[in-house]
Amino acid sequence: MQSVALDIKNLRKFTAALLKLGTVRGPVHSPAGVVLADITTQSDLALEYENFKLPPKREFFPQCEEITRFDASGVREVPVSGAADVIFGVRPCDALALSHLDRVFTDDKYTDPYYSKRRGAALLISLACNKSEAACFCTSTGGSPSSKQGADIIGFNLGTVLLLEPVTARGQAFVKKNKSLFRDPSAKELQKREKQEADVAGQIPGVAVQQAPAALSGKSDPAFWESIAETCLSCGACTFLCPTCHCFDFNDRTKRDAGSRLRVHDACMFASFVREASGHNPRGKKGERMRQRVMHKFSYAPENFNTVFCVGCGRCVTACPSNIDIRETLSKVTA
Amino acid sequence: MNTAANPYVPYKVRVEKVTVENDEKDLKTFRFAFCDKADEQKFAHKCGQFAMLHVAGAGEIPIGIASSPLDKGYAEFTVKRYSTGLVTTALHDMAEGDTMGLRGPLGNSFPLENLKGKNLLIVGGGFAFTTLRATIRYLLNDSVRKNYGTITVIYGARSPGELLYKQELSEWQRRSDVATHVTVDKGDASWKGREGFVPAVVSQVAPSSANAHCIVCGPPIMLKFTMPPLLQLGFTPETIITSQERRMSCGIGKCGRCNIGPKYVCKDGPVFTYAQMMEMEKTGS
Repeated sequence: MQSVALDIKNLRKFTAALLKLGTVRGPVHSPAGVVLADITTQSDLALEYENFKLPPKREFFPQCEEITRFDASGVREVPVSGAADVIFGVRPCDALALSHLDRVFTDDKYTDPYYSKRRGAALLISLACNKSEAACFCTSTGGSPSSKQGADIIGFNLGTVLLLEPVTARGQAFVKKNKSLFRDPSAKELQKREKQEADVAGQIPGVAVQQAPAALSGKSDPAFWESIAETCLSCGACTFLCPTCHCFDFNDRTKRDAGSRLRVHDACMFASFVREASGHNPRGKKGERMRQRVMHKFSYAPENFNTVFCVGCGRCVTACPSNIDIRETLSKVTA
Repeated sequence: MNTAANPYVPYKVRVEKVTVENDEKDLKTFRFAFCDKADEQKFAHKCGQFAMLHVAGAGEIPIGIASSPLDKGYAEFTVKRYSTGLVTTALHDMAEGDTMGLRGPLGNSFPLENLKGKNLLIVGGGFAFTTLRATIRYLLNDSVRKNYGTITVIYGARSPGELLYKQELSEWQRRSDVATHVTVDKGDASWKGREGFVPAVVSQVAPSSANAHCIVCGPPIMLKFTMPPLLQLGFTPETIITSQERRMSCGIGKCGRCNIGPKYVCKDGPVFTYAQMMEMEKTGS
């Protein structure tokens, strides 16, 4: 769809237009760097950042949420809370990840009400990357520093101007409704955007992702997976920070005769993940769990959803305390 | 809020009857009645499906449905208690009249509609016999029995005291429209029936595989050793149907836990053919 230009000097007015929609979450300066948090005033919005440390999936699928409450009389549903009306500044890799999660949480039979209500509530404005980080590899995972999938509007920060391109009808409606804030972009601005897109994409090294699904189907040797997992601490950092990981568990928390049922993130890298009460554990070894994680993203997801469930954000690479690097794993798989 | 739209909210059920099934007293059959009669209609299940049992404060577990779809007014589940199992332990402490949660029915089912006109061999071991019991109860119903050819049941347990549904077993043994072979690994002084492991009994009974399908459920070790005799008899990986179990949280294909290879046991299963199982196990565990 046709892009519009927002002069940065009008950013406060733009923020005010977003705030009119309700709760707005976007990039905000904090002692921990730029984080995705509530915008409360027109001057809160930060535009200079690479990516959020924590994946934005947490806006829709929080690490811990109460889903029901129970007491002697029975179980009551807890209404969905914490939904934002606007989420601004998500990077294209993370927006792509959300479009993958959409397909997990809503399928032909069951809709997860918690995820889907929050996702439905929010206008998602992504922001294309102005530079890549060391561990980025989105161009190998079906995305790019300016891919649009998953967003309603994508923005391009050109310094003095923010170009906004509506992606969905909902994004288009927002732009139309606030057209007084915007002007048509100049040919020079559109050129600058194109060059910026190509420059950032060009900085990102390629990783052997596309060859992985076929190569993985033959990788069943336990020794191979034990060697990949040898230094793994089973801490789960890779999964908690992954924007597509969505494994969860339910836990009951009680106080005397009443309590809550909580949904919490879980991780396939934990030894207890599939351990049964009988003690039987189908994935009791680290290598088996590593295989599950890699296969889920690069073999099972392509089979079930026709796409890898990795968007190349590099968080797992950066966060792993024992330097296990999915890029290296994939090159070993495809070697 | 409409709870029917939320797949994580259970139906409220009342424990109507608790039956201790075995000598070790760690296997109990729970009969649940729906506190809201309308929920019973919504729960309409098929043989082979499972449900999540929620004991508030302890948690939720997936258990195969042991009652027949034609058993009206209640749903039954047979649960083994593990001292390491929070929910199974809490469940075993439930008394008649207590209320708890039931979520389901979940998963696919035995393809009984497609098996009309076929001869059926049903093989079960240990406490994996529950959904098979649901199936046998269903098949032996007067309105259903005529749709199927011969029915042969082979069921084994460790010892006579560990056999489930003892009264029904003896009723089935008295019927002429089902051949019921009950075996125990080791009998006791009063045991007059068969002794021997299930795979050996399958070979001894040797039911014909002509126009037949086999439904087999049991512990992994039994399944492993029962496949060769079944194949020997002429059953094929496509005509051998089995049911899998895995730890689950959601039961609807979202929590990412119960997959074997690319398939989720909760959503794509729990019923798979042996051919499908072999394919899944190639790419994961």
